[in-house]
Amino acid sequence: MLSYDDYGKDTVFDTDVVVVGTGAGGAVAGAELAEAGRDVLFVEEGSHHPTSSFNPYLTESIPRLYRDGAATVILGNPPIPYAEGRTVGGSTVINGGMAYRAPERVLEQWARSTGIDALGPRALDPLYERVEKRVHASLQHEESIGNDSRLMAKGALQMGWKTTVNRRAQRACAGANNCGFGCPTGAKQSTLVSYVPAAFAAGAGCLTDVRAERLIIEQGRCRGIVGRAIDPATRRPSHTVTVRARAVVVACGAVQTPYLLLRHKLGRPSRQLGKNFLCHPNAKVLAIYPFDIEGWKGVSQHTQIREFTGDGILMAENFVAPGALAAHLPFHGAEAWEIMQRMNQMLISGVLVEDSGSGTVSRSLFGMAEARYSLTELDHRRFLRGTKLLAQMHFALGAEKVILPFSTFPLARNVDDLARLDERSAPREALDVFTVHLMGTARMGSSPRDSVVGPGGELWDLPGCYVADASLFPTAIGVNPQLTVMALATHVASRLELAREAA
Amino acid sequence: MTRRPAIDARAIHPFHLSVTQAGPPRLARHPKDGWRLADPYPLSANARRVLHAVVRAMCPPSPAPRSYDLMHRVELGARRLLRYMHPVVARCLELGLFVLDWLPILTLSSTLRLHALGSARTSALLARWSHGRIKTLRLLMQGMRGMILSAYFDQSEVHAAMHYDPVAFMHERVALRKKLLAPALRGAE
Repeated sequence: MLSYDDYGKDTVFDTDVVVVGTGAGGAVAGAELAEAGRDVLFVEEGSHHPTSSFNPYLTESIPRLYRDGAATVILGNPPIPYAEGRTVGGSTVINGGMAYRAPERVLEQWARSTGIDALGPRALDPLYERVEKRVHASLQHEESIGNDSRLMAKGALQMGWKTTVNRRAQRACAGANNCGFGCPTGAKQSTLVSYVPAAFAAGAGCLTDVRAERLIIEQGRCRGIVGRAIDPATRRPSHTVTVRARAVVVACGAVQTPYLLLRHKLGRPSRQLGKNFLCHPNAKVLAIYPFDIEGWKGVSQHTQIREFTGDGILMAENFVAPGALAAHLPFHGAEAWEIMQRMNQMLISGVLVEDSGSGTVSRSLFGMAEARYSLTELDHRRFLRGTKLLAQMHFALGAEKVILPFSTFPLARNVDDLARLDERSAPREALDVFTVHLMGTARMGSSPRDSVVGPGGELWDLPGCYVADASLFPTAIGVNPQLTVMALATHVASRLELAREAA
Repeated sequence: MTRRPAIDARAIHPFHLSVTQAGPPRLARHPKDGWRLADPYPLSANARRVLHAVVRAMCPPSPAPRSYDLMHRVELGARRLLRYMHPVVARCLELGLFVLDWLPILTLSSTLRLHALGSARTSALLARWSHGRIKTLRLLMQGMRGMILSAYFDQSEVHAAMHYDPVAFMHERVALRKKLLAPALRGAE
C-alpha cells in the first residue's frame, strides 16, 4: 500500500486490473479478482486509517473518513445533504453495517424489467450467501443492545407494528456505537477489515491518496486510469499517477462513478449515464424523554420497523454523535444548548423513504459532481405520515417533546400538536432530510438502448471498463444497500474478461 | 500477468509504516498514526472577522461551556473543515461570510455590519435568516450551523457538560468484545 509521499513525479504502474475505489463494490470485486489469480491494483482517493486510529471525535473523523468534509449536498427541493466515505474501505467504514438482502419483490422486478436472470432472487441467492459469510452477517449479541433500541422495540410493540431485528456485518460487536467514525473495536466487518486484507493476502496492492481523473482509452478499449496524488497538507492535487491495465473496474459510488465516466461522454447509446439517481432520503425524529436513555451506549441500530414498508416507509433508531446531531438541528445558541444538554434523555429515530422519483448526476462547470433530486409529492406525504407515526409512538412511550424534521414545524409538545402537521404547515421545501444511500446512475440492463452497462457490468460503449457499485441498481431497494452492492460486485468480478494483452 | 513498476507496493516509507501499523485502539485525539491534518483554510482578514462573530453568536451562551480558548478551537475546527470541502464549496462559504456581513445593512436591520454587532443581536439575526423565505440563505445558514456547531459539540469540555463520555465507554466495549471473542479464539486454538 502506497501513500502520497511514495509517489514520484509522473509515476506509472502496470497491472491486470485496476479497481477504482475500495468500498462495498471495489474491495469485493478486487478481492474476488485477486483470489482468482489476477494482478489487482486498487486506486483510492482517501488515506488508509487502521482500526487503531479511530476515535469518537467528529472534528478528526470527518476530515479523515468523509468525502469533502461531509459538506456534500444534492441540489433540489429540498436540498439533501449526503455523506460518503473517502478512505480505504469507503463508505463501509462509516456506515451502520446493516446486512440486508434486497427484498424478493425488488429483485423479481429487476430481473423482469431488465431481462437479466442474474439479477433475480434465485441467481443472486448464492452470491448473497457468499458475501454474508465473508462479512459475518449476523444478529447482535444481547450485551451490545442499548436502551434506545430496547425502548424503540417496546414502542413498536405497543403500537402493534411489525419489526425486524437487524443482521449486521459484524463479528462480536460489543455496541461501541462509533459506526459513523470507524469501528474502534474492529468488530464491524467493513471492507477495511474484511475484503481489503483478503485482496492483499492474494497479492493485490493499493495506491491511496490518488484521485482518478480520467480513463485511458486506446483503440476503443479502456486501458487504465490517470489520477492525481492529493497533497495532505493543502488537499490540492499534485503529481500525476498513471495505472495501465487490461481491465478497469470503476467503483466510486453512484455520484463519483458517473462523474468520472461522463468526462469521456460515455453512456451515449441510452443517454442514461447519470440518470435514474436514487437516494433513499431519510429524516430524523428526536424524542426527549423525562428519564435517562444514554442512547450512545449500545449498538447504533438494532431494530427496524417494517410495518409500513409496503407503503415505502422504513423506520428505525439511529444514534449519532453530538457534533453530527447539533449540525442537523434547526437551532443554534441557547436553543441548541437547551436541547443538546438533554442528549442523554434523547431517542434519535428516523424515517427512510423508498424513492418514487429519481434525479440526475452531471459534471458541473466548476469541476465537481452535481447531483440533483427533488422529492416527489408522494414521498413528501410519506415523510409526513412516517414522521407523525413515529412522533405518536414517542408520545405513547411518554416523551416530553419531539423535534420534527421541518423548519416550519420544528417541535411537537403533545399528540394534539401533531394534528396540525400537514402539507401546508410542513411544506416540502421545509423538510430537513439527509441521505447515505446513493444508487442507480449507471443502471445494468440487457440492451444498450435503455441501460449503461450490460449484464456483466461492462459499459456498452467502452469494452474493458466495468462498473461495480450501487450505480448498477435499476431501482431503489428500500433497505440498506451494502449487501446488494457486494453481491453485484461479486457477479461483475466473475464476468470480467481481460484484454488479451496490454496495449 | 503484468509487472509492477520499480516501487514495491509493500515498500516501507517512514510515513507509510506509521499509518499502516495496527494495534489496540487508543481512542485519543490526534492519534500518532502519521496522518497529517490539513492546514486551516486561508480566509481573508475580513472573512475571519465575520467567522469570529458568527462563531460567537452561534455557540451557546453561558451556562454552556464558553471560553476564549474554546471559541478559538471552534473557529480553527471550522477553518480546517473548509480545507476538506470541495474548493468550490469552501469558496462559496467564504463568499457567504461576506454576504452575511453586509446583510444587516442590506435588509435594513441595522446600520452596522454583522461583525460589529453584539453576539445576542447577531444570534437573533442569524435565527431569522435560518427560517426565512430565501432558500439559498437558508442553505447557507445550514452550512454555517453545521460547520460551527459540529466543532463546538465535539470539544471535551462540552462533552463533559453534557455527561457524555464516549472514551471510557468505548474502552469498556473493547474489553467486552475481547470477552465475546474469547470462546471463538479458544476454539480456533
